[in-house]
Amino acid sequence: MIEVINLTKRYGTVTAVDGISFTVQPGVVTGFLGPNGAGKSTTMRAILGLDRPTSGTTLVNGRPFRDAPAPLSELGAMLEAKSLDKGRSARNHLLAIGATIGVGARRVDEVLELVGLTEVGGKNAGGFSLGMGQRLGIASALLGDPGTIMLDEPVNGLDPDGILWIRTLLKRFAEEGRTVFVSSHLMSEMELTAEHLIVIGQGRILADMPMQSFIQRSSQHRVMVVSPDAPRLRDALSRPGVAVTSDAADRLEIEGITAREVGELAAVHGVTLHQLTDIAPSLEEAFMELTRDTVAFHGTVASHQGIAA
Amino acid sequence: MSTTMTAPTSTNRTPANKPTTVVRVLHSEWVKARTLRSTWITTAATLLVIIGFGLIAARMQVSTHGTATGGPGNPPGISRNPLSTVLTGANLALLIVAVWGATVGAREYATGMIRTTMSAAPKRLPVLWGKLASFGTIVVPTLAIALAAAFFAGMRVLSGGDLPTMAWGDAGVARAVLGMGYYILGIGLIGLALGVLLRATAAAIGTVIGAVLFLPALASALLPTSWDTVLQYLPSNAGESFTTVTQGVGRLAPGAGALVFTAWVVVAIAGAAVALQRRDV
Repeated sequence: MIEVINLTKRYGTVTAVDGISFTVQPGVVTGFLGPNGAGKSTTMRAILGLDRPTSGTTLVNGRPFRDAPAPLSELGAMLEAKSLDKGRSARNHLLAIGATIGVGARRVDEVLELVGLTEVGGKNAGGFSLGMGQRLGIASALLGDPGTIMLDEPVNGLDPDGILWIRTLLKRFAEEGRTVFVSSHLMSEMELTAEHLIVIGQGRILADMPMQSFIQRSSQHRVMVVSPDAPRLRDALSRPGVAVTSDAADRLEIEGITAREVGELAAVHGVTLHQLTDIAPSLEEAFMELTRDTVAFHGTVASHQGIAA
Repeated sequence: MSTTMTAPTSTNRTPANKPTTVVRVLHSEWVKARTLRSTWITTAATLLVIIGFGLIAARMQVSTHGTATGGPGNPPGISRNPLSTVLTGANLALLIVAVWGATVGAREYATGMIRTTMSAAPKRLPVLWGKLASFGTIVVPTLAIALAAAFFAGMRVLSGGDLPTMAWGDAGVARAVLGMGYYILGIGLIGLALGVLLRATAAAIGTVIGAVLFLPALASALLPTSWDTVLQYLPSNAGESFTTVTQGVGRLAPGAGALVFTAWVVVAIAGAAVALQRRDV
């Protein structure tokens, strides 16, 4: 379990994380979402004890990580895949880290096998591709068989095979009752992997809830209708709170009303329907809606300034 | 324990985790040191430079001043101090070990390995002790072998050419040879501490070579002699007091020099330790 309590971290005058609190529970994969510069990596660095908080605390299994008797077997983490020495082989890299908790060649070979790097274990990590480096980073996180796993952008650079592999792995770990905390900017991937979501924007927690609740909370529910009588249906739908858009003569996209209501309305007016579809919002839409105003680096802001100057 | 194939499972695991003690962090640092090829290349270079240059210098003395070949222009007996001759390579070895230490200290910051290291040992300080210890574990025997070989083989070459020699038992000789080893090791440790302190290889190398080794020589040339009492406390001047047989002018006594030099090493390491504890990784 990971607890973040009133964590604030300033770098000079920049406040990266502003008094955030949340708990990452065991048994589910918790996704950590936020735009670039929102404070995700800062939070993870603070949990690992790499950055000292300006104020507040972070706890792993109820105590500061630096007080863990065997850190690597409590929290396995990967922040940046290339956090390794290019001049050392993958196997020796793992042997060196493993020595801190007394694990040796046997466990190292197991982990290399688990991440699919057995063949290249003796090769210098400097020659690894991004995906292989990512796998090696994950191997070092798993080395101590930790109860808590924290990964920053783990699917970055992985091929589709590797993405499926890491998704399966993380879900398996959660099922085993471990705490799994994973950040990603790939919404579709996060939607498939995480059951719980913590959303951060401009150093503040914007949402901390189950994935389903987060998506359903979004106002982006839409109903798509295909009808030869689209204009008539459109008239019937013109009422307050309902917005209708159309990108084809026989197609309508309707917001503010359920599919069921649209169907009943069509029946009352004798409008023929060829298709009536409820379009659930994606995580991406829900996320964009939530973070629209909190993105640290807005594309349009820059262009406005460009014009002003 | 059933291991079912392809799908990743953590049932195939060997839970053999033990507490992370200072000794285990030292072991981890030792594994890191011995698994880098540069460690052994630098070790070989240090050996080669000290022994090889010592022998070459001794042979040169013999061929120019020795009785066997000494011509009329090169009267026998007018040769350099035999100890400086056989330890010729030590000056270059000093630079090698200084750079080596700086690299050991800063390397993980340059590669990003430091994040992994400090995540496995979040108490941080044992990592510094581990780096110092594994560096010393390799450097001490390397210097001992190299200096002993250069001294005994070099003196043999000189005596073979009927040139003056010094015996290990002569006054101040053992102290000067051991002192040279201690001085090179100490500069290496200062380099390592600066590497951790500055977190950049180039800056650490520049500082240890420029500020620690060359600045004192520059300072004595630029400052009035009234400053000499202060300058004798600088690391390289303090080092000179116990690495030579005869005490130079304006130098501390060997024992005092060794103490002052040790203090510099301790201050550098303490600075690195405090910085490591306080700042973000």
